[in-house]
Amino acid sequence: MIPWYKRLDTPSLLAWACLVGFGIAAIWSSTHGPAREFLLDSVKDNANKQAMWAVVSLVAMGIIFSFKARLLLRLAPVAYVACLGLLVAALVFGREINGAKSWLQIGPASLQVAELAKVGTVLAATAFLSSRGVRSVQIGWNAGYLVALGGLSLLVLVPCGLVVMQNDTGTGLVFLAMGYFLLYWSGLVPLWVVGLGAAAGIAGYLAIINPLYLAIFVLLATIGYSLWTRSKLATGLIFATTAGIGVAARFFLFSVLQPHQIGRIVAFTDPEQYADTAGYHVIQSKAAIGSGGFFGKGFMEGTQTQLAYIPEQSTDFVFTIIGEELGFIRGTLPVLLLFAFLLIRLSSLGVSAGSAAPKLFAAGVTGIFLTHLLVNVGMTIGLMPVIGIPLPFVSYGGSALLANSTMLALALAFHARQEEFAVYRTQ
Amino acid sequence: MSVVASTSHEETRLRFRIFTVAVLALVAFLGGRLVQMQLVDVDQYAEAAEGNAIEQNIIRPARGYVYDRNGILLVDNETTLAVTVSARYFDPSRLALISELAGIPLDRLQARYDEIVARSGYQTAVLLEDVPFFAFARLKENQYRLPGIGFREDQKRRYHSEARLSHVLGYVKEISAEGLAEKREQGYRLGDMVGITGVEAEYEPVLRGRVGREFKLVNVHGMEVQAYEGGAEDVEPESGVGLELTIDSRVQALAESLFVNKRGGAVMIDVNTGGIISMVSAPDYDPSIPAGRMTQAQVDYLQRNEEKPMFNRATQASQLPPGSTWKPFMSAVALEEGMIEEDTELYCPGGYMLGRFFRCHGGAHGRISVRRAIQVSCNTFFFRLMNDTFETPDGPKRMDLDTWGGWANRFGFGTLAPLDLPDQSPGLIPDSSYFDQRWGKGGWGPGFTVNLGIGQGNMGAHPLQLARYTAAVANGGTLVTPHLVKRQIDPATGEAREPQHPRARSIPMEPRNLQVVREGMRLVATDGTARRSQIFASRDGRFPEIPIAGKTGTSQNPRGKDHAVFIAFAPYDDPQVAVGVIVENAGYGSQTAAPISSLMIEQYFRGEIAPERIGMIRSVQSFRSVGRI
Repeated sequence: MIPWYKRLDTPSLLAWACLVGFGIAAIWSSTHGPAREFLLDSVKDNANKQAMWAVVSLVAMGIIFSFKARLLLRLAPVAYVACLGLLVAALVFGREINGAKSWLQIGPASLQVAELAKVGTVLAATAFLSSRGVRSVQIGWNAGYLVALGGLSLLVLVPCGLVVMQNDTGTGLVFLAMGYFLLYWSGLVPLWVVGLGAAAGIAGYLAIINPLYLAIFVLLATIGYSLWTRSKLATGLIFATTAGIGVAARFFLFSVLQPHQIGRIVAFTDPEQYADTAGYHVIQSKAAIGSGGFFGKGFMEGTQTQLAYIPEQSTDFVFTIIGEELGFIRGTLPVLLLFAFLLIRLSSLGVSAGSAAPKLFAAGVTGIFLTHLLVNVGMTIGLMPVIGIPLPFVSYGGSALLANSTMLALALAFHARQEEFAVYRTQ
Repeated sequence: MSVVASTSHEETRLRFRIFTVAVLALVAFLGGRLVQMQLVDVDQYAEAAEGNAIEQNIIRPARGYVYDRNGILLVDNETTLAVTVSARYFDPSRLALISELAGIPLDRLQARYDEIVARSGYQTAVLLEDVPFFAFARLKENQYRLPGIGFREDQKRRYHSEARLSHVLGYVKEISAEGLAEKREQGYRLGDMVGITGVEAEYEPVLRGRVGREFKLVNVHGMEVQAYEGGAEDVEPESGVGLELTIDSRVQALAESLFVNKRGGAVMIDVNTGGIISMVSAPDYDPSIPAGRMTQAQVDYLQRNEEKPMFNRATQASQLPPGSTWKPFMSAVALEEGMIEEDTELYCPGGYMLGRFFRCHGGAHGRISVRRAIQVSCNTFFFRLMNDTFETPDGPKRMDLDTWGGWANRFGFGTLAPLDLPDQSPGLIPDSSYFDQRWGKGGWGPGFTVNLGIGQGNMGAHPLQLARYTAAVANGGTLVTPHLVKRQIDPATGEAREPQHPRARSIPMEPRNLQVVREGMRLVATDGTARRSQIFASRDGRFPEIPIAGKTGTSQNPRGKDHAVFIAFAPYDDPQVAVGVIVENAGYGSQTAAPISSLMIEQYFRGEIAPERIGMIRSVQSFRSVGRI
């Protein structure tokens, strides 16, 4: 039998180290150039603090690796309840930063509890689903199935609701995406139903971009479904879902929202039109990344970065620093490829473990990372609305780095110690 | 639908494959966009980033200095301290702090700020100008609390001479919105000073110099962080070219002082070169006033006062007939056209009958020839000459009205002179089509034009035209090109360059005929209407006599008191300068216009006024233009 530490996936850990390295370098650049003198004292040290959090994360990962996998899984209920407690505490006692009341001061550290809550939630959902023995659940109107679906929904929606109440809609979306990926990987719903969800998301996005694209998509999705499923029900549902979501989204956008709210959502499609308000961020961010070109302007040489034209540049907009100073070939492409590698690697490890828990946990974690990547990078290059969620491992933020590293460590630990799940496998 | 949850190995592998494809598609989606931005449209984004970060600072060059013909400094620059604001980086709530630090009322500051923002929210503009040093220093100390506020040393014109020279120099003023739209291509920016009238406007391109530029990297707060590309793109400013005028500032100062309480104009010109030695228009104004922010009273004076101080009476007055100063011209033309010989005598019975009786000055002159006709200003003599443009009972038609007008043009009347000033009027010399238009073809006769023979009626000339015509008489028939700039001086090397003024024109006239006219004009001074304006040898014996020749005139004014006119040149035997003076609503030419000319001539040749003539200054100064315009 191969000892667990030999099965620890080194390439994933290297990818982690690379991404964290990119992050610290970018944060250093944005806090040690000419902009430094205008920064708050608390911000000047961000690069060092991030490095310190990386060490803390590394320690946390080591601790996780030292636990037995089943013990980790058994801790899930405790972790989940603790997370809910933190979320509630943040709502009651929390500090408001950038309009979101999601920060909790504990001793010297301020924690962004929504980030930590992701760990507890994905762990709890994994424990719950794997303990239900999803393999034997009959799809249909039976107690086992309904409990599985309902339990998963409840586990995800409660923290999601609390996060949204903290006014952090972006992170709320991440919880939904996590639930979606768990559903996908659990096999509780057939592929064509999963497809409905993806199609609904795409339809909503296209509704913002261009009604014509939306119409074309509705048409193609309907034709595709009819050819694929040969089921009138599925075809009818895909049409109803995509068209319904599209129409509802446009109605909501242009008839319900106030102009400034519309601006925040649609500004990325035409930032110049909203240059004085919501579009400013997008214009500056795109100028930074675009002007970086193939090789970048050089470390500490980016004018957009060094002259502080981009708000939130070391946190949510850290990708702009990488894009401007390191360029396509040294910055943005490597980061994208690292993420692609990490996402595929983690899910592959989960699948190869052969038991439910590693697979489901990997599903939740990759779902979270994937959503962060899409939304964060998408917003910096004008493909997504400006929704403030960080780029995992790269953006400045101790709680997020710790939470993301913990999730990565758990996923790797579940894979490395898969033997210990034998007891579940037979169920 | 009742199937077992699809967790079979194959199903999981399928889902893994789908997931992998989804991840790759997503990365391709983001990566494709990055390729488009970073590889394809990189220039466009680079431009946007540079537009953000690189600020171009205009360094204004020192405006060229102005000197008089003797090298006396008339105008240079003084440094003023200015506070600028970049509205897009500035938080307007900080105006209160500025108000407190600079000791300026907040409402005034707010009004100025609103004005700037209304003009352009992006360009840096002057918020406070001419800031006292202490206020400037206090603001600068607090710069860190005032993002968007900048500090600049500006320059403004400083005037040194006692002579105001308002209409010669013109003035400079912050460029207007319209001016900016027009001159942006030439590198003008908001807050730049630009010459508005006079020499300042005419020589704007040379006076301004070359604007310098420096490129700075500017952070999001609008603060300069460092030089762009180490200053490689920067351009040094070049100071403006200095101008040495033909003006004699002491003659000018005297002439201006003589025009107190008067309306009118005077021009003294060098009869050989055309250089304008003095040009006065009264009332005038202080050129430093329109340059700055004016009070309402100042605006009212400059723009709404009915005496129009901005109007250059020396070159723009177009309605004033020259009166009897026209008679030397008539004499020269009659001699040249062969209508009279120098000794031809015409009979003056004390007036002239043409429909009605036109009285002559000083009773009946009897038989009179041209020199004496000029000396005593005999109207009858010149009426008869003018009526030779028609066939009358007195004689046949010997000259066409348009031939007369042609001669007037050759002497510079009714046309614009080539002149290095922007504002000039051609005056008025009527021709037959003028009368046709006014009275219909054949609807006018000798009675309509006879007045033109004595310089009255439908004609107008300004002092510059009078001086130039007198110069032509004095120099024997050369119509000089009047000009104000003698030399342009390179501020760096001190090298002088003479500007190319258009060449003088020659008047095709027998010199002898002009000699006769000059003799007549000399008699006016020695034994005629201008004898009290002669310049004799000074009693202290320091200065010999300056023999002058001239002609007085009274320009009839149907709306009020007549205008006094005088033309002169000196010295009689070797003419150097010519003068044309009009004093509005001041009666006879001999009373004010002649003494003014006489004093100007004395000042020019002697550099001072002889003690016994100081009283003359007093008496001229006490004389007023009366009534309304």
